[in-house]
Amino acid sequence: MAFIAPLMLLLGFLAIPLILLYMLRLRRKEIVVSSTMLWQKLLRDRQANTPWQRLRRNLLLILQLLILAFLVFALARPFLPVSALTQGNVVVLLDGSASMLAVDQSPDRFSIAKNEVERLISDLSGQDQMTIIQVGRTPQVLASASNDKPLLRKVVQDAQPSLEVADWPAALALAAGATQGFQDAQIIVVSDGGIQGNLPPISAEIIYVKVGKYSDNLAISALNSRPVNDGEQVLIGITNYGLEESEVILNLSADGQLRDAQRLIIPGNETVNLTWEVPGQATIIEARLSGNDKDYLSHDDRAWTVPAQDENIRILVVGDRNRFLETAYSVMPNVQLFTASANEPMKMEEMEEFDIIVFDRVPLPDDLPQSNLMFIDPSVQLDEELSAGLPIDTKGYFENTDVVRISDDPILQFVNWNNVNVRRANSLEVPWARTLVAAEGGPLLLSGDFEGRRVAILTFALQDSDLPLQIAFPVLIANITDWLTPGLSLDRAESLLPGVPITLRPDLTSSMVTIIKPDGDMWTADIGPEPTIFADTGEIGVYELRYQGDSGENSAEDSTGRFAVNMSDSVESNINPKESLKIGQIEITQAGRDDKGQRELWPWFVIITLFVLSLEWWIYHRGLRLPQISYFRLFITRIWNR
Amino acid sequence: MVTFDDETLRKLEQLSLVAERVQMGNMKGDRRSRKHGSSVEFADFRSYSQGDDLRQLDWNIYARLGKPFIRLLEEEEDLSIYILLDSSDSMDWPLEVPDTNKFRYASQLAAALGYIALASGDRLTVSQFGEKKTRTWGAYRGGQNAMRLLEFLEKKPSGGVFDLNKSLRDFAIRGNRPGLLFLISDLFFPDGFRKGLNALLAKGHEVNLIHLLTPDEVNPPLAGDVKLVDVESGKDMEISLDSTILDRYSHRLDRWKGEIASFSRNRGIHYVPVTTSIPWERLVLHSLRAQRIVK
Repeated sequence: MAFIAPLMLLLGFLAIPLILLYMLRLRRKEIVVSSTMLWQKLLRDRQANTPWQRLRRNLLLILQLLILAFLVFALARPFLPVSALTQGNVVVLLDGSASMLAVDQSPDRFSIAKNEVERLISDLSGQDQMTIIQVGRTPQVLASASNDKPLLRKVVQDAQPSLEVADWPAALALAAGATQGFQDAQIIVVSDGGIQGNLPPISAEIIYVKVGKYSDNLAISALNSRPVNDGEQVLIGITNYGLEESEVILNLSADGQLRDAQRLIIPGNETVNLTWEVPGQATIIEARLSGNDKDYLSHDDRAWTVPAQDENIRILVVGDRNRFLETAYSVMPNVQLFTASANEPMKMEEMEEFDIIVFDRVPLPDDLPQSNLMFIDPSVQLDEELSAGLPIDTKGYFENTDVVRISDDPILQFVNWNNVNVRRANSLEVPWARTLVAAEGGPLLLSGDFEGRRVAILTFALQDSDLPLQIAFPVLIANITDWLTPGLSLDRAESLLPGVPITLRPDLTSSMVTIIKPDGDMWTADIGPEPTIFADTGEIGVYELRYQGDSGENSAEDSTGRFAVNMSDSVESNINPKESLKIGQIEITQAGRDDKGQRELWPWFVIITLFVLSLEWWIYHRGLRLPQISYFRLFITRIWNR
Repeated sequence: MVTFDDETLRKLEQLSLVAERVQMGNMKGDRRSRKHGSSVEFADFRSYSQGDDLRQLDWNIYARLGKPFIRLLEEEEDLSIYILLDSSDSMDWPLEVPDTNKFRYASQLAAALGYIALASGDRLTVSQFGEKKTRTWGAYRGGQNAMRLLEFLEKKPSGGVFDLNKSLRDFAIRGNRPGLLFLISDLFFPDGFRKGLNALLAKGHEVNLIHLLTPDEVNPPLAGDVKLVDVESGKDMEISLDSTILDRYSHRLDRWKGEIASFSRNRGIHYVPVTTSIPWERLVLHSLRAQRIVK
């Protein structure tokens, strides 16, 4: 046993004034009596009888000295060294990613990790504080700089694992930030080490607590489909993350009906790819692994794919041949490109067969088709009242095209506009459109809704800028095409990872969207001018979308879509617990527990003090004395004589 | 200090002190002899002492020798009564409560017993033992001396600390006639009293031991941590008092009284323990009569 504040032991000298006070208190009241003869006889009897006499007389003093001793001990804060990982302030990173759902340790890795964190909480001593961060796709602070052990235990017990892919760099950055307030704080990573790549170096000391034992896991690492002549072709990748060869049964079903089952033997650390053809139409295709006992992670044993439901997007470009545009559109999937010359006007009925019509440096027609439109440097005649009913004005060209403002808009997602130079642009005034990119002289890019159609406007000719030479160009065109084709409903038609949000792009007639989750729960949102984002994709399975118009009924058949969320991530599926973490250039191995911790004993001393204090009070009031020894002696004498 | 109302006096006059074994005196008294076979005739002369009946004076001898002598007759006898008062400091207790003051009580008792003795014609000697000297009154006879007895008892004794054994031995050695002896004391003598009593018994006295204790000595009204100071010796002792120790005191006191009673019984001493809260009239008129010390 040692003391945290041994100087407090000096308070033990308070015993001296206590004894002095006691002696003062014992200056007895003098009482004159006729004779002390009998009293003296009495005392002689008693002193002969009880060797406790002297002690008994000072029982209260002894108790008070005991109380003082215990209090001084408590103040000196004695402790027993206990085995602990660390001491002082700590930031705990609790891995809540999908790999922690592996059941190679009973009940699962996440529960073991929670137990480890609870042990850390128990080891927390004195005024040390703990911050707990659960690491998921976005790190989540469960408890911030708290000394409240019940609270810390509760947040740990309440923590739920997710199927997400952990964002370790973000979590470490957050942890490093959390250590700023502390002195000598340490970061404790409770994880199976399923971390992709190397982590950036951080200044704080890091301790790694490993959970997990085995690496055996079979996963569907890829599932995709593409249409073929008379059905769908499905590509399936199955990976064995364990070291040994495993046998597994692959079940394939379409729209809930089992269509095929195969027995596969997959060597350790290898992936087997196979294709399978589903005749006819199928809306949902599911692959499932079964029949292997040593598959410790079950969430990656099922995968779904939703075959493409839409036909190609038909795009008409009106104007002179523009190689930049044609190239950009030709590399996009599901796009069918048509061109028309401005000199050969098309009939309105013909034009309305296209999903998107691009007017490239041509005068706008008198009547606009109902399709969604894109204008590139529209030649608007000056002084003409309203061209084609579109309220667009031009003030001629401007050349001061330095960009002053770029809006945050889905159209500009991943578009780097910084290196784009424009020679000249058309100074347009479009009251119903939003300026996305503004230059000093006027807008460069606008978007807006006009009479039930979406319109995007680029105010400069592609030839007048170096935009087509930038990497931003195909991205911009793809974004604009996405925005102009709301019928596809989703930004990404392929399967998502759990927890990744998805941006919905309803068409203009929809006012409300409902998403039915795999477990049947409904999620509903109103559609406003801002992009609608659905982030509750924590479950794996197929999500169903329904758009509703103002009247409440389904607006159109094709506005009902589906998307699949699959846990097919090689980092999370690879549940092999790592022996060490590499952070920066430092290899951090698993930490052992040693006698770093301190179990403070002062609460016990306080409890004993309270007990003795109550005893002292009781004795003082009851005038209790120690038991008479004479009874005991009588008893002994009887036994002796017998 | 010691006064008797008429009623009490009338009652006291009807009483006499009982001696069972002690030899009668050689002078005629009001007391009938228990001796058998003696005729009514002259027995002896003895010197006149104050209070003697002048009718008994032998005027012929007075004429011849010039000294008064009393003729003693055989058929009636007198009895020597001795009342020994302990006047040590412990007897003057409690100081604040005169009603239960032991010395005052002892004086009243002595006055009552003395009056009975004088009234029945016995020869009475009263001694007060003190540290410096022993005050003695008597021997006198006859009721006419009652006032002088009261005057004697009213005087404050010298008090102090003394050895009862020594005082009693001195009294025995002084060669008084054996008689009926009352010792009134609280018996608070560190060296005891047994040797003195034995000396008195050896001399042939019939001893009545009246043991006075005050109520606060029987049940001390004390508690807590106190320092007890002996009023006689001035010695102090520290003691922590609680109910247990007070119980033990009570037991110890009973045991002490039991020891004295047992000692007295073995030697034919009448032991009368008295708490001074009992009125002295009741003690004399009832308790002592019940114990056949007076009749």
